Amino acid sequence: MKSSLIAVLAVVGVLVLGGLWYVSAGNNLITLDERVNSASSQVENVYQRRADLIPNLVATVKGYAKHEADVLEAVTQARAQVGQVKIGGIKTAEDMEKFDRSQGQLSSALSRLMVVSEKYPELKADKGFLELQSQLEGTENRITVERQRFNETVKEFNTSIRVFPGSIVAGNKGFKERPYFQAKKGSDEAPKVSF
Amino acid sequence: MLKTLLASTLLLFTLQVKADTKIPPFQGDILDETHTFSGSELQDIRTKIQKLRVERGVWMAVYFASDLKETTIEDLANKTFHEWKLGEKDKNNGLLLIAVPKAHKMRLEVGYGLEGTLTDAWTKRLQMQILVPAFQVRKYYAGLSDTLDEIDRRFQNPGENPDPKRHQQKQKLPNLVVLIFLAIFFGFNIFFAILRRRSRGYGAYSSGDFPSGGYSSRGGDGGFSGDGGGSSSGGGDSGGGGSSSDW
Repeated sequence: MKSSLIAVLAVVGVLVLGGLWYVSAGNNLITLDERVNSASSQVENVYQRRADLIPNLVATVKGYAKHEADVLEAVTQARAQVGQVKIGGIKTAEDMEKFDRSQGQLSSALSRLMVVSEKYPELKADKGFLELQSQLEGTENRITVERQRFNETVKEFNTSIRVFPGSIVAGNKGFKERPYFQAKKGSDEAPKVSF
Repeated sequence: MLKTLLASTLLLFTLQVKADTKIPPFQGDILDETHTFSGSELQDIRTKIQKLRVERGVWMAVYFASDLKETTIEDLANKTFHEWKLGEKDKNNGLLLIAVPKAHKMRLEVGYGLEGTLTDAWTKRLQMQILVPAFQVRKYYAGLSDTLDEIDRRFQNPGENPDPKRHQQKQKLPNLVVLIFLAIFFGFNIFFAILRRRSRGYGAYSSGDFPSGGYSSRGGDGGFSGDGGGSSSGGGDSGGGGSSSDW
């Protein structure tokens, strides 16, 4: 009688502890998932900040470099494309691909614009242009920083849903691995703009 | 197959190098690894940094690094800022000036909370007009001191732009004034010290004779005590705002 009661109590105890662990592990995953979400919106914010600089930049360059219509057009178009990609949080590898591709196009269009602008000494001496240049430089650096932080939070999240026993909870609750930003050649360095 | 293996080891190696960027522990207002400044210059800088903290709410640190630690100045600045947790946690009002004389690179990294006042464009102007010209002729102390004044001025009046002329003029006149002042000050001190020695008959220059100015020994870590712990200041962070320059 006594020993069977102890056995029952032991089983109940284990079940309760297991349940508690399950709940806390689940909560932990939710916290990490939310952290990835907020890192993702930070990334989108800084990219938006860059997009916001472009109209002014294009207008300023146009004033001095009318012959560079192609390059200017490419930048304007790439910016419009970026504006169309509304994903609201980078969740799947597909989201990441779409986001990274459109932003990458804008990056390369912008760097071409910056190379072209080197040919115009008057443009390079323009105060407004210098200002925009330093803002763009700062924004590119912010992008690098936020991408790194995004990857760090994703790493933490992905590790915890893949490592046993957290993987059981993640499987039951339907948590999926989140994609990383791929480091592209030169993208981990802020562009050098010489004055 | 071999190629992938090689590539991945190479990648791992580069990642290793990047992860190895060792940030020295936080040591208060200024960390001078390069021994660029003299003792009294360091005191002056500390006093100005502490003034910024008390009067303007700017938690600034200056770091003269011996080398780039195999990374970019941007990365080094952001990592240092992150590690030192400059600024108060809820305000993110930290500011870091990092200079690597060996590589001729500098960066002013601005905490999230100060980005509105210390815009990227303003920090760039500050570097081009004050810091770069001074550092080019190895006037590190003058450049840094003027920079601290400019930051103070910027918070006093957010429309203010860096102006090198202001500092040039300032140097000539006050030098004379300071000299005269010092002469009078020391003259009086010595005069009274002699008087006192005569009346009391012992050591003229006991510690009581000179009024202790603002530079007491505890000046070093005025505002950084309390929470935070030994190796960091507040708990603030930066998202890569600010700008960099070469000199």
